[in-house]
Amino acid sequence: MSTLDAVRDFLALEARLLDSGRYRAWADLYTEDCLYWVPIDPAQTDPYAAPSHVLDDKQLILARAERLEVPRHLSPEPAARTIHAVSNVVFEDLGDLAADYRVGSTLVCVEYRRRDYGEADQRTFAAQVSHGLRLEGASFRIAFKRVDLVNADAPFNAIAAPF
Amino acid sequence: MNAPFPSAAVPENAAVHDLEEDLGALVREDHVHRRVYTDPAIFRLEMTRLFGRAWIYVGHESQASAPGAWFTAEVGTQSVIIVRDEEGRLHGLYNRCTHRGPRLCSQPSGQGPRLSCPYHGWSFSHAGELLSTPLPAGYAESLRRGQYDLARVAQLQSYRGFLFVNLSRDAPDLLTYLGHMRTTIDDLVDRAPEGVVEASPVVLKHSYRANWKLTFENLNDTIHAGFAHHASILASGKVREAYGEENLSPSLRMMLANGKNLRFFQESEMVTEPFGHSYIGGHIGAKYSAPSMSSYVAQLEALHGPEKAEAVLRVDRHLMLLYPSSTWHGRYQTVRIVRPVAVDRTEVWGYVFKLKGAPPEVFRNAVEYCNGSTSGFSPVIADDLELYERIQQGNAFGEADWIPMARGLHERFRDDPAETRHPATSEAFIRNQMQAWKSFMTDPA
Repeated sequence: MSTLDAVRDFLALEARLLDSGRYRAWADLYTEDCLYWVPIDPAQTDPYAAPSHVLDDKQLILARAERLEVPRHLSPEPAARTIHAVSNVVFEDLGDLAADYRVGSTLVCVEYRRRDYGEADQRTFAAQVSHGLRLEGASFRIAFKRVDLVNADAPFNAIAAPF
Repeated sequence: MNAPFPSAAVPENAAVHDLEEDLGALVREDHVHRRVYTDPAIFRLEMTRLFGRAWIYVGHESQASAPGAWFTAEVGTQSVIIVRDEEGRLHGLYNRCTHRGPRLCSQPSGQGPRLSCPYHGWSFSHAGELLSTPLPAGYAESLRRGQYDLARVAQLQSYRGFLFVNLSRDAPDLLTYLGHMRTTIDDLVDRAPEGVVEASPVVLKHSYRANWKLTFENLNDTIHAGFAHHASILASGKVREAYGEENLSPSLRMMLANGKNLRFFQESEMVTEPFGHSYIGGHIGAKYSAPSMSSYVAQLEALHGPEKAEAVLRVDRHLMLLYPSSTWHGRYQTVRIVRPVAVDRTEVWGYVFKLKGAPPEVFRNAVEYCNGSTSGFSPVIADDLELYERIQQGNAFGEADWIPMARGLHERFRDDPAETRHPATSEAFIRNQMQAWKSFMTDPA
């Protein structure tokens, strides 16, 4: 199997874990020193130069996952259901990223959460995604993930599940 | 009074005079009628009587620092342009071309020698004067000088670089309106080693399908934190078990702070003031303890002298709510604008301020605070947005019309009309907001 195929499989696994609500297993894909970033400004390069929708270290990723997996917590209930469709996977220039590979992909994410607003309960997000992957044994782990939403400068209502 | 509940189906032209006699009765000392949150006719009246008369925070002078630079802002549901002219003066103009009426500026900010309408090319000076139109002779006498200048907002004033608009000429001056609350703005600016703060150009926004007042009534409510944010308190607790207290990241500390016991909040202080403003004493325990911060402390001592520097750094306030437009956190340099969009639609725009001359960690802490307290992706804010919408849904039906706001009605630390102090568990800040609301809304002038 080519490295690109292995990367595609890995991104499909990440999407699968999110779409089946296995958030703790999803969090385990991330390295201890990881950064998971959903910026507002596509031109921003320093994550701390401005506020962001998401700027998570490993601890925050774990807290997010924990909050979503424990049943009967007031506000995350009912749980969101998502479909993450990942495509256009390509290798990118690694730059100064502390990883083995930098991978670009396109994400279309459909999120459904029943709130009794009818069809408005389903939302669509689309983004260019960049993963910094490290090889650990035979598998990958995520050291960096950046999600540039097409409408990143818009106001967002509560987002339940990660991208 | 059990007025029939007007649903969203109330006709657009629902007469204001029908409302008139009800308005004052909708707010009692310790109860508020649920119609105040759900009636579209009341929302429309709020846009003129409250947002048209109160001082509304619109932005910071650093957002238009160069000659010809401008930014747009909302005053209630009206768009205004704040623009700096060639001489450095700031002007507040309604963002509407005086010809066919399109919004002149559709971008959040920009810069240029004049303001031009994309429809027929009418162009205006930074002070709003009509400079040129195509075929001016064709308008004959109807295009008299000055008649079609951009409309100016009645008042635009600055407090230490923070800009406020008032659409009424009869309003009390800005300093009177801010009162003691100005000390929170001082707290923000005085932390800057060079005495200057600067707004980050990137704005973090969330939105929700409920009334704008619910944000104001939630942020200084210390009781909801342990319940509404229970999930993130438990989740952060789990992570703390794995990583240990000392190694916990600041964002998780903030989530855990919501779980402090009620006695802590009962002993903390809430300050309310005329015009609906309030703040509570800080509960996040925000010290500059990192060794890297000692140079920052030294910078402030050089600027203010050791005594005042100590006083500046000692301030440990949680949010200041400047009714009805903005919320302020001096220690974490975050200002949020609450934008009413419709009776059941609100946006909150968060701005982080850079303290000029301060080390990068200070800004980084502020960014982390703004993300955690403003993003719709924040586990904490997601809880609040969920609840605002459930409140909006729930207040649309039912037999019970009256919402109690009586908690701590007779508990006071200090009774001073200009600056009343209560336990931070009190609903006094909501009662105070509703009294201000009532006094703006029942004044027909």
